[in-house]
Amino acid sequence: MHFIFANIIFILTIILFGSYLILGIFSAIALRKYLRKNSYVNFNSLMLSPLSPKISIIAPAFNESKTIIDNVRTLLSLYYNNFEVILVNDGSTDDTFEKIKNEYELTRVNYYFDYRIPCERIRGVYKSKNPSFSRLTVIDKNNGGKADSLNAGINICKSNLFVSVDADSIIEPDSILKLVKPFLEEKDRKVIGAGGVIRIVNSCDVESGHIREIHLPRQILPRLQVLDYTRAFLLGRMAWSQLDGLMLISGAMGIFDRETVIKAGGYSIKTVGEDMELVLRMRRKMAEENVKYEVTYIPDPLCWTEVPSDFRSMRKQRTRWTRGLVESLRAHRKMFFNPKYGRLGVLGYPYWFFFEWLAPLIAFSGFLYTIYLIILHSINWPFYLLLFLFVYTFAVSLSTWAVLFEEVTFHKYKKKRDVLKLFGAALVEPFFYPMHTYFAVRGNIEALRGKKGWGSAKRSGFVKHKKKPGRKD
Amino acid sequence: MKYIVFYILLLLVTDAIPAYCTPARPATTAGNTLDPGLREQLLKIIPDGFIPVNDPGYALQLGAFRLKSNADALLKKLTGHLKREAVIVKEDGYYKVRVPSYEDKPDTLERPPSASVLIRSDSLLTYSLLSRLCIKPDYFDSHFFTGVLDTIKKSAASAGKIFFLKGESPWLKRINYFGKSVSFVNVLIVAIVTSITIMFILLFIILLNRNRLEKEEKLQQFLLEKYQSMIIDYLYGNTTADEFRSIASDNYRRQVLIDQLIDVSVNLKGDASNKLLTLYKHLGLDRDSIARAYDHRWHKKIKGFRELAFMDIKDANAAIYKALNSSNEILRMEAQIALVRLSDDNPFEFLTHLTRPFSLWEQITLHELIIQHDLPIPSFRVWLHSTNPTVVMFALRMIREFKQEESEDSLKSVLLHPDPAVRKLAVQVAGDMKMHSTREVMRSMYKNQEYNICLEIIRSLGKMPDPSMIGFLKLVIDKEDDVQLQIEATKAMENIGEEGISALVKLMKSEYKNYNIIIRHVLDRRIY
Repeated sequence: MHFIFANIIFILTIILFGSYLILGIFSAIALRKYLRKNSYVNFNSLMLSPLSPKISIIAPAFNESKTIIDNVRTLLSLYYNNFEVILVNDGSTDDTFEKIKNEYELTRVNYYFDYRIPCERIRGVYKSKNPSFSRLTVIDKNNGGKADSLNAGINICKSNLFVSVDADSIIEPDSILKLVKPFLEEKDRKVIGAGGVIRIVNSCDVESGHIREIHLPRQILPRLQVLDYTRAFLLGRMAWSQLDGLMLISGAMGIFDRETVIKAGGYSIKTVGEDMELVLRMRRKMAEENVKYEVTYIPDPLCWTEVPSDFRSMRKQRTRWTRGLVESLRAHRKMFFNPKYGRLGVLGYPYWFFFEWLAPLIAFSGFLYTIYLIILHSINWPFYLLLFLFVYTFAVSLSTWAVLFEEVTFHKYKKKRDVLKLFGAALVEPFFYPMHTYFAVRGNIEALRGKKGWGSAKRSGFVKHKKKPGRKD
Repeated sequence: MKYIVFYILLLLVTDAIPAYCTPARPATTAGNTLDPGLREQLLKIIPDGFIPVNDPGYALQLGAFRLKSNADALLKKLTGHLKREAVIVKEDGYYKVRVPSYEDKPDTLERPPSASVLIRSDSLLTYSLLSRLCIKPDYFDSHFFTGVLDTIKKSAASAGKIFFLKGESPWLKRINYFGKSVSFVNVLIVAIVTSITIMFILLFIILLNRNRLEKEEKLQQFLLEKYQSMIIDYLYGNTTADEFRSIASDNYRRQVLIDQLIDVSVNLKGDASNKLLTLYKHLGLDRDSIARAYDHRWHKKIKGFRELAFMDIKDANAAIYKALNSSNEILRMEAQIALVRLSDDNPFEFLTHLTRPFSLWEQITLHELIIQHDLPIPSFRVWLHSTNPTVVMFALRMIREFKQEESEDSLKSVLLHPDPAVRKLAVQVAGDMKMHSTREVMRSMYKNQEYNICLEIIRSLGKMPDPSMIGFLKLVIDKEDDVQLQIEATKAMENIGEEGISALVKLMKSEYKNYNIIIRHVLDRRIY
């Protein structure tokens, strides 16, 4: 027992910290390269060109009544000349569909729906009577979950590339231009998917589906998640993309090669982590067919999403993520340390296995062991304090590193005060780790019990921009 | 600054240590007959929980090892320090180092609970000795124990030279990470200090970067406005070229001036444009651009290419040609753009020599350049027979965009190109341009093609309605299982007009298949 806690956990911690450092270095190299290259890219030529490939944007919506009108408006006004928007109403029980139907003057069309990827029954396909909204197609279907809705959208879309988005996210106007670029570059490997940076919209001023002013979240949980997201997207995924071990394209926004997705069988409805599962399955299929392929990552902010601001909603979200992770890892366990799947099998999968799935569980057992030692008066407090300080200072310096990355890349938070606030958040963040460990343990228990479904998330809606007296607009 | 922070933290850490050095519970030493001075010394260094044993007849065990080599190493180490001879005894699977010169009673020797003791350093010797001092004082003489203590002190002192904590610190109590507790604790302390230092340095860099950006932005704005008004005054007023000399003496300001000259020249033609070019050369800015074009860093090269292309200076064409087949896509693209702009007679000649793939991104950029700068458009059919498939695809796209109908015969042969991506695009272009002579070729090739090309053939046939195709299209609707192919074929029939529609009506009445749903889909104009 003592040997396990004294040695194995410590070795794992050191490897984890070491891997964070290595990922940070890889990420810095990749970011520098990307930013330098992109400073010479003129995305306007793509926006105006008749040669740009057609893109289908698929947005599943379930009970999004509060924000759906604004969000569809944002999608329809994206900077791209050759795209369609497919909104999938996943059997909403509120007035989401009615609102859309009235706002965009929808009428049912005689659509011959091809169930190429199985999905729930389609109640109807709708188009607008107003030619201004000819890009919009709305599918009304029975409830089947997000993955099922995306599958319905894939069945109907007419382009080779599709973008999956969360209907409740706010998309950056130039996001499609940036997402589509890797598919236009001539490479010796087929690009099968690409993802980008997701940012947090809490406390930002939003008007008509567009972000008017960016603010750092005022509440503590969303503010901590800013750090979390920055670390994950700028340090983690950027590096994994460089290492060809990217396992996840965020469900909030990602672009995929339609034929590859169809061949892989579409999104899985058996998991709540359908975004990760799809990437794993696509990569697995390509590797098994010996096709040279690539999953790329664009370190540009593509969309803004509202994150949970209360403990309960956050618990639901994070336990669901853990369940998704467990289900995805379990479904593709064949890849574990399997060189056949390249760096993903040898590096990416084991990393997620040990440090994303197993690490919180080990941390939890560490908590229990600490309590046991306290009860037995066997704890060496000075040494315990030393270890705590070690972990704490490392975590804070890693977060500060992420803040630096944000600063030199996108520089979205303009006020100097915001940097200090973020640093302040980094100082308190480690005290919230037990909460994350609890979510992870709970997620594992739910996965073991075979719990399905997403659960409902409480949304506060975006902050509407209001004119304040004396403020320049 | 960072050093001050480092020293403060160092002081904090080292100052905090003595506070923990007093053991929480003193060692039990009842009945101890040691010399009081020595006893006091022992009490200071014996950690909490280790009790000297008073029973007579015990030897002094200095360590127990699984490996004999480790026992030998300790024995060797002790030889110089001890007045009595130490020996190695094999017992219970361990090699035990003992001083047996007293009454040796290994059977009654008390062993520590953890038998696997690895001693590998002087500092650890300290710990090991302390944790295993299970001795009866009668069997000691002061000289011997003083010898041991000297060893402890020496090793602790040598450790103290390197580390913050010494071997006798209670911080090390019950910790035996990899047998190197002193090193381990000190590594932790170094890691903590390093993390804190990095943290503050990063924060400092971030805040400094903010200030720098703000200042640079202000300066750039100021310079842009100033230079722009000077350039306008130079073009249409009294400012002379020499007045720019003071600006051109500073690298940063030279660069801002070049950027500004380019910005202004974009909207100028004729005399004004020539005057700017003269100013550019007069100030020697062209030399800067040429030097950049020859720089070994790709991003510098790009900047040079761009400046030279804008200012129409051909002196670095050799460097630009060299970059044409670079593995760096951005550099390659910028070289192509620069050459197209700098070439007088045949701007697209580089396509003939292009061996690297010509990506769609590059094609889009070049197409944009042709439109924006109103470049002379060549007959793109020349490149339909290029050995580079991506160049063929570019030619096909340009034939479509610039409606070069004279390319129909050349395009017909591309329909049978070995590369499926080229074939698919050729079919698409033929359909878009309504090249009727290609219909028969398409029909004959249909059965041997992969799904995506088949779909494209049916779509193209739909764009070039011909009643003679009704039979073929009916066959597709009947025989193909794929819904998309059926829909496209139905649509193609509907496009034919009356004859096609009447054929569809007949199909609707057919009992062979339920075509109604497909036909209703196709006839619904709101769908497309």
